[in-house]
Amino acid sequence: MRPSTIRITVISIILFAAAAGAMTFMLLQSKQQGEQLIEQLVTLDEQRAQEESYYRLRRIADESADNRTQLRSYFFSDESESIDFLNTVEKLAPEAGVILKTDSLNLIEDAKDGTQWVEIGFSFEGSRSRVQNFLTILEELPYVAKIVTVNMIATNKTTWQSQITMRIRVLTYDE
Amino acid sequence: MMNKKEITKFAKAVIHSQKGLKNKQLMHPKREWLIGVGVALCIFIASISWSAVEYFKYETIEQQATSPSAAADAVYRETLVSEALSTYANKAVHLDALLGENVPVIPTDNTDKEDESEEEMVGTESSEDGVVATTTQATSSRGSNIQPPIENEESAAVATTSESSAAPIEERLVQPATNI
Repeated sequence: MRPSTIRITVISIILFAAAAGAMTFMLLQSKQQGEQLIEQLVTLDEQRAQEESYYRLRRIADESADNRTQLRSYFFSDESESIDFLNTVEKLAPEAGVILKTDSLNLIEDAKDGTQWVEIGFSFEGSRSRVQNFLTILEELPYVAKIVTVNMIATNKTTWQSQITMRIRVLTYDE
Repeated sequence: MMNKKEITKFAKAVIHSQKGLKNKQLMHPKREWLIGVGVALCIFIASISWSAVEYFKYETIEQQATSPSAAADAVYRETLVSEALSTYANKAVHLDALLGENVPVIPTDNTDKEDESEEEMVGTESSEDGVVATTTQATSSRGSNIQPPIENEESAAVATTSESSAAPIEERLVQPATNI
């Protein structure tokens, strides 16, 4: 072979190898970029969903602010609010014509669901109808509360005494 | 006439000619170009095919990606909230009614508190005269409506206790007003 032929052949082989290498590199790059595109699209989709969820939550939060405030007022935010509750009940007692005494006040936790309650023991006395009426008043207080025990006895001919234990829910959640 | 030497020479020439013509040219530009163009076409077609496959693969990627997202849907039970609010609103109304019924049985030494509670009941839109008129009416109605039943119930309680020799009534005999 002539030297020029050999030279051209070598140059052709080098160019072909370079072209093949570049082609392979581009193929690998496009495959890698494609996979990256898939991941980014998935991430973008999740981000859009989170964004929509955020705006939806924000709208709900704005629209339900009054309702939530109202609902929150039916709970104790902490144990210290029981003082206001006791003041309210002690103010209602003379209006209802009964003599009220607060026996106990404890913060308890429900063993089943882990909810916290303020357990308050009251004893009050008066005429039978007034005692029963005050019981109903305690039931109707706008709190998330339940009366756990009721004991009602007649101490004499005209006076009845009632001992009750009631629980008011303490609102506990992650803010 | 050919002699033996001439015949041998002719035969050698004929035999030698049967070997055919030797092509001493190594490169054939036309053939090599055809081969080069053919290979290039094959690579080109393969590239087009692969690109098309990848294109259609990523063309439908958005539909694949829009699967249900991991973001949790926010749940706000509006009907439940409305029911709870209406329940507690009813309780508040019931409580106000009960407190309104209770006012007449307040002892006379608690008149200051009674006035305060009545002012709360009447509200702020009434004038001073209106407040007085309303409280007076409420007091009279309470005195006429509520007091007799209380007296009756007290007398009933007395009767019950007298029948049981004035001993404290057992808990099981008492039916409290609660629904526990």
